[in-house]
Amino acid sequence: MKKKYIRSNEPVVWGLFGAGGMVAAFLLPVLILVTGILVPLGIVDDNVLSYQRVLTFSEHWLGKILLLITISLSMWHGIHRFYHGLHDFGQENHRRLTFFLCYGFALLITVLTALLLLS
Amino acid sequence: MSETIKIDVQRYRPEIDNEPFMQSFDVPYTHEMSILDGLRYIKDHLDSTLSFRWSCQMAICGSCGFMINNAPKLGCKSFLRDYYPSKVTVAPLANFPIERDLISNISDFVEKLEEIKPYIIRENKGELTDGEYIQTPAQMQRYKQFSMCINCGLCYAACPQYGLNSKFLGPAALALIQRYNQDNRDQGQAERYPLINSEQGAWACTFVGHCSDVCPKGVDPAAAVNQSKTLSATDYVITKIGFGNDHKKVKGDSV
Amino acid sequence: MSTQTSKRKPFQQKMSPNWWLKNRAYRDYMLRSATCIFVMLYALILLWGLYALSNGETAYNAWLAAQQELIFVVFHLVTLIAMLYHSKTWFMLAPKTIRIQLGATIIGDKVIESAMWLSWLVCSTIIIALLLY
Repeated sequence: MKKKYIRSNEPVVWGLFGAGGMVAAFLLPVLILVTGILVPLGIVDDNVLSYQRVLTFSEHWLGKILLLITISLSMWHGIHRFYHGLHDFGQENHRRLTFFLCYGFALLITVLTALLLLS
Repeated sequence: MSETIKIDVQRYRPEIDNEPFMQSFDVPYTHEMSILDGLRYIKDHLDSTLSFRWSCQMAICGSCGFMINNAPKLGCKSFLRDYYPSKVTVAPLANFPIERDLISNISDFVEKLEEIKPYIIRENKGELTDGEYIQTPAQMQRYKQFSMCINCGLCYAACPQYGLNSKFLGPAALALIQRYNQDNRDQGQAERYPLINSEQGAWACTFVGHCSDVCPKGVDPAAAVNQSKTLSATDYVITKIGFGNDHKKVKGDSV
Repeated sequence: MSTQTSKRKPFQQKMSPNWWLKNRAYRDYMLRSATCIFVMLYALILLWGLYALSNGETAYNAWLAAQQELIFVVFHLVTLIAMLYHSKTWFMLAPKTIRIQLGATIIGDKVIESAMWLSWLVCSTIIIALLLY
């Protein structure tokens, strides 16, 4: 009796998860340090994240790419772990719906980020 | 004046019991005794009805897997001295149905091992007069680690994804696929890739990694499964872009 | 004798809903998974900042000021720790997804892990330098 195997489409989201994981591992710690701790607590100068400076960065094509990668891929990474985490916590029903809600949300964030960067 | 250690054993007699229960034994203790030695003492001297699997006593046959203080271990490779004077609890391997006492039914595991085609597959067989298939030490290194599996099933007891979903191929079966796919003598990748690529193949794994923690032979099945993910993802891209046919062998995987 | 029915009655072991509390490996795995909440929240904070940026200087400065609120500082501290834990586990696991063999030697996981930490250090230094100077 020959068993039928269906190719999973998981590689798509896994690839995004992996890329996002790299972004999170390499870029996020230092970014969080600067934007979340050093600047707000006044440990470094205010103008590090001044409107003018950040605006210039976000208007440069390289800045746009970096911002898109940071925000979007981090979302794809997080949502993948979240979706699989729900299964680990015992969710068995409505998996398909959950799949579309989760990855749909990540897609939404990606689109919103892209729209903001393109305007 | 001999020392004793308490060994609590999980019992289950299907013809009498509706569910398992614990039974406590006081076993004479010496420094050299393994958990398996403790169980054999119980069977030989205290309760001959206790049932459990064992054979080689040297961590190569894979028979004596148990949950020892809730951790999957080989009875012959775990020692009472590491628990003494605290008590030791012995239960059958988790994530498998219990047949009797410490005997788990690992048929599902065995069926999966068979399913992955655990033998060298050749497109062209060759004649005996051609001589043996040549393999250099470097070529053997590619799969050697994954060939060390003794089919003890500890990794399945450790894997929560298998516990949650018994359709998952599981660590040992996936490691065995890698053992053959990375072997230069094998030409059967095309037949095994569909298993890796499916939802129940590599993609049911979430890299908990506990399988590799408990493996008594250092096979590192977690590495095998997650390398499979990379290979599977590559195969996915190549197939979807159209460079390969589905089920054709992925370039770079043989030799 | 041949009409005797089997006395077999395999007992199904069920996984408990709190299986992940049962041992260190499972708890660490859940902790690693839980860092995803912090990743996503931080990404959303950045998106909010980007949105504020697009609305002009006043809006952006309001976002900047909000980061000084205690709740945000605490959040960022916790998130920083979470991300460092993510980096640590990521660099431990990522080497296992690939296999680099040179001749008969397989490059060790620890070597790749160290290379990743080194890259992380270089990357972070460059970013800090670019941001602060």
